[in-house]
Amino acid sequence: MPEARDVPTSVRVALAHAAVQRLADEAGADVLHIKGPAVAPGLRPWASGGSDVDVIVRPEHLERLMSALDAHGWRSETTFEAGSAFDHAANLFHPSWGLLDVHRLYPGMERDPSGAFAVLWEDRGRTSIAHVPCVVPDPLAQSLVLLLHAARTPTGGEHPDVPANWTRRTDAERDAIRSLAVRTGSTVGLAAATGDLAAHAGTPEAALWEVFTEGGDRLDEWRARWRAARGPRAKASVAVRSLGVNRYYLAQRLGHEPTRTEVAREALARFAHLGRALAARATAAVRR
Amino acid sequence: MSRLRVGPDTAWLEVDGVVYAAPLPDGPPVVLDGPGALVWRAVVPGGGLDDVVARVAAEAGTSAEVVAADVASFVDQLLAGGLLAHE
Repeated sequence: MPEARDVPTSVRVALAHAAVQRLADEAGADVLHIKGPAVAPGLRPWASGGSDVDVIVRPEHLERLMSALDAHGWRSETTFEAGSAFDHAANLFHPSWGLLDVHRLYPGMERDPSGAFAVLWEDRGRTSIAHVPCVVPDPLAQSLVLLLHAARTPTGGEHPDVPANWTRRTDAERDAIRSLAVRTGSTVGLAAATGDLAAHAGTPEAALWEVFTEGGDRLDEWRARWRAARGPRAKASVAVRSLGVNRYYLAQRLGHEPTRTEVAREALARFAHLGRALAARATAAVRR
Repeated sequence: MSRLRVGPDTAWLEVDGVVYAAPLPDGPPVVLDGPGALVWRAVVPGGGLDDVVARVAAEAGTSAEVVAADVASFVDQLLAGGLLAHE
């Protein structure tokens, strides 16, 4: 029979969703499939099938899911701390299935990840992906997830996910999404997606979302993360990641595993970038 | 004669006439094009090997005798790969 390399990306992603669901079932781990083929029809008419699998795992089940993935050949590409802006996702790779993002929390819902997952899980449904029933959030919760993703994805205008998931929703549906946002602690993130961030001006969370929605340099982002991080441990994580080099993304950019020299050069470049941002701020302050 | 079915641990989909099937949870996916896809489509409704052979023959516009041996051999491969199962 032909080799797996003949499989188009969108097909491979669909099969991978099914594989992850099967492993989660075997491990007794609750997961919700988001994005790609897991999205309800009509919520993302512009998008293709995606290039990787995204799942949110119940935080209490994270360890058992990661163990099951490891036992079945999923290789960790980046850790939670290194792989994502909000410390929220780890990236894994499997030779049969490609890339998987495991979210231990969803950005915007980071205040109480377990509580937020429980809310999403409450009204879950199942959708058949590659003839395997996969667990997905309710369509309104899917809209909230897509809107939170849109809020941290600058497009230079309205994100293409906003019309189907917000603007063209009915008043009752928008109220239901707002209510879900309250219950999942994602009111500020939703406001960022829907252009209502001004209502939360002055809060640390709003400052972080402003960086995503309005753009900013790396210094802006680090400062906003620092302010939004709750407690010394979270702040320490922000500080460490700010100075670190993500080897995976560097390898993607270089097209090969980075050497120690290349990692060191990248680290220096990041310091230089920070230095330029600081210098620009200093110059602006002098001019004022 | 036992009935054939898509395996309980198989994920599959068909795109543009090509069937992609994979044993779960480890894979790898396999690609069934042309006659392979024809056999797969003939298995999906269920039934015994004779039913599958009859469907393939009808679809190919030939007699069951002409395709029976090849279909049986291919079904055996799919069974061995865990993609199909006996009910």
